[in-house]
Amino acid sequence: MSNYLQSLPSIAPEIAMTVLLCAVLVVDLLLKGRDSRKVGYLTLGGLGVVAWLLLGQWGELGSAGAAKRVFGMIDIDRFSTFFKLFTVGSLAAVVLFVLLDRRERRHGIGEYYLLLLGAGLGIFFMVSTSNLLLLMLGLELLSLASYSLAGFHKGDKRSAEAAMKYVVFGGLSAGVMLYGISLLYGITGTIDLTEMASGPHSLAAQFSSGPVPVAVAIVLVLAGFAYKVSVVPFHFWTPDVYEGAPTPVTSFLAVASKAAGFAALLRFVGKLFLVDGADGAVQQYGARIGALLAILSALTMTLGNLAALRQSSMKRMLAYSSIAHAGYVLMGMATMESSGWNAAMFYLAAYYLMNLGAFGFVLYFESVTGSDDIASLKGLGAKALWVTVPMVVFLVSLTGLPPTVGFTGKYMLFVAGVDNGLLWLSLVMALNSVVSLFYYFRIVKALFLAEPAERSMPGQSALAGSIFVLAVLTVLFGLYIAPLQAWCDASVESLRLGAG
Amino acid sequence: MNVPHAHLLALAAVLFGLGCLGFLLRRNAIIVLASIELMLNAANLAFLTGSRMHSSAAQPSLEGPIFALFVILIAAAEAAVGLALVIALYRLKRTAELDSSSELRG
Amino acid sequence: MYFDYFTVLVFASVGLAFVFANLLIASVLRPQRTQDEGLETYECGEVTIGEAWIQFDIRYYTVALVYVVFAVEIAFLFPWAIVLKEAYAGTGAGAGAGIGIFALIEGVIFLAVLALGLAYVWAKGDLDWVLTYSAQPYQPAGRESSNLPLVQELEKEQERLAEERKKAAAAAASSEAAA
Repeated sequence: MSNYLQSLPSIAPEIAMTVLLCAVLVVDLLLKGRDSRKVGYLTLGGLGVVAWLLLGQWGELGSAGAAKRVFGMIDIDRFSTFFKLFTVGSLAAVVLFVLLDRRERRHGIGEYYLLLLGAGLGIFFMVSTSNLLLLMLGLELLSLASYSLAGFHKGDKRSAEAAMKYVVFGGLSAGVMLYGISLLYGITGTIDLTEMASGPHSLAAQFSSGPVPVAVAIVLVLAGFAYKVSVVPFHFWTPDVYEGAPTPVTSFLAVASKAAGFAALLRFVGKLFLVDGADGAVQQYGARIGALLAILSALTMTLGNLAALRQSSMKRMLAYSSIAHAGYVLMGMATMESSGWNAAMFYLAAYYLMNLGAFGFVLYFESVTGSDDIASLKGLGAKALWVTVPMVVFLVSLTGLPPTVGFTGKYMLFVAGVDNGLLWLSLVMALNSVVSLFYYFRIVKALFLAEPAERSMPGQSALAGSIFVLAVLTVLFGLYIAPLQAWCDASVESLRLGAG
Repeated sequence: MNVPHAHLLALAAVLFGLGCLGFLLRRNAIIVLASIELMLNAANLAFLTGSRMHSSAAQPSLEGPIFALFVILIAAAEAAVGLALVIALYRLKRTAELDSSSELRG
Repeated sequence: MYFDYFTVLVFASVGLAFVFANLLIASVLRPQRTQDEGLETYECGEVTIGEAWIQFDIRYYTVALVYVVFAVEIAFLFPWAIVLKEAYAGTGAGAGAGIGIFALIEGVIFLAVLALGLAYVWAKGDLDWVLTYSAQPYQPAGRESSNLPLVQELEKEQERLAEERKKAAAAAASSEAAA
């Protein structure tokens, strides 16, 4: 009894999130679906509380050895807190987007916030566990909420179709991943990653006796993750779902959901292969996984960038660009060394900032032009400088040019690749960045290099303000990288040492 | 009677393969969702087999059965959300064929 | 080891044989009807309409979806109940783990969350056989058209019209009263 109670404060953010979710549901019922904005404000306030709890936890985890495992399955370490903080931040941004979306209804959309919080809760559990059962449950909670969110505009054919595609392919990936996990359990007799790496039937012992079943099981599980973070060849759902889903939902899927998938993937591979003092068999196997990730990374970034070149819809283009960015992050992972993983974490943090901003921009102009076509932006650049100049910043950052956070992230990835014998992959990434310049620049061209349009721009100062703040952060973290880098270092370190 | 583990795992693999085939070959959304259920049940069978492989009379390996229980939950939840979305799409299109979904291309 | 499967074979064959034996016995014993009425589905005289292969009303699915939630809930409550019983009786796997009251509270929270979900479905009217609420249609974005009327403006317009109608009705009522 007492040790359960003592463990409860460690999961205070999760508890707060659950209580908030129930509160949102009840308040929405009490309001009888009228004036859902109030529910949105409640959600924002609650997320503030969760963020405060998380910051407190981050501070507590500062001393060495503070990382711990509670209830035998939840790892409280800086790695999970890092992702939880960014998740809360992006959730708050998405809630703001919903509140500020001029084309969204004002009534009867309380479920929007409910589902977003549910997805956030799923992320919380999936980034902070090395128990495959809890990981799977968190992943499913995130997925189920995402399916419903993608189809939130029931009357819109494109939204319903996006949700249908998402649920069908999501179900497939869940099935594949679960089958892989069941094989892993059959091989090792445990569903805990730490025990899997070191227990009596550890993977290390199995590599030498029967490498094929181990390889099949791990590839199946990796396929499930690859779907979630849309890595080639499991990327085909991404453009359709991103285009059809409501724009705030798209920004959630592209940012929080994808980064959470990466967090779980990092922990999965890290706990199994990136352990200090691993023996030869594990290291050899880890190197093979690294080679597989390197090939996937090269394919992903190339295909994503080439496909993005010929898109006319901004959401679709950003979808392919997000596939390419998954490839960049994967490159950091493929090094299978701390330096590369630091770079991957840093790039994910950068990805949060610049992609949220870019989708905020799409939302802003969708409500003005009624379309997300790049062509519809023609000549609007000078009309709303508070939004278009930040967008240029995001695009510069997405391309990976200084002085932005995207440049720093890419530079770190490049160096990590060169240092760890992946020079070819670093060069592929550099070439890809040049390719990406072409399609990102098309937006700038449409905005500023066309005849100024006659259209009048309605003011959306709150949305413009949040986009501007994101742009400031993008530049700030690009110039002053020390704190963000320290956070990434601390997170990867806690992953390596592990808890329990 | 004592069925060898290899047979159970083979049955699980066959079920999984049938699920994959059904997913790839059938175009009706309901059948596709049912194929996914088949794959999840293959995973369940493998979990229970794994539990049998690692259990001894003194120390049963309970993680497998527990996981199987939660997989049932996952299957039910996915079926519920999937069917709800099929209904939503059916209301708009009057068909549950996946090939008719062609609004999103590019 | 294949001998183990002999049991399965026997089980399957007996099952099959049972079905066909019953059909055979029935065909020997039953009276042979020759009139058409005897071949009707309902001999009492009710005439069948259409076929059985029809699509069921979509509202069955809503109820079925809610049912599924509670069907699966039971699967979790059985193990929980057994552990709880053992914890309080001080025997078996649940004993000595100090899990008793904690597990009880957890189970209650689990049920409370489910009950909250049910209440939500109920309050939204999804359990009513005749759906009483109608969701406002979403205003989809035209791909090409610009300056769409915003949903909020449409809502405002509707509210204004409703106000006007109310005023007109009130005016009519007062003029009637005056007359």
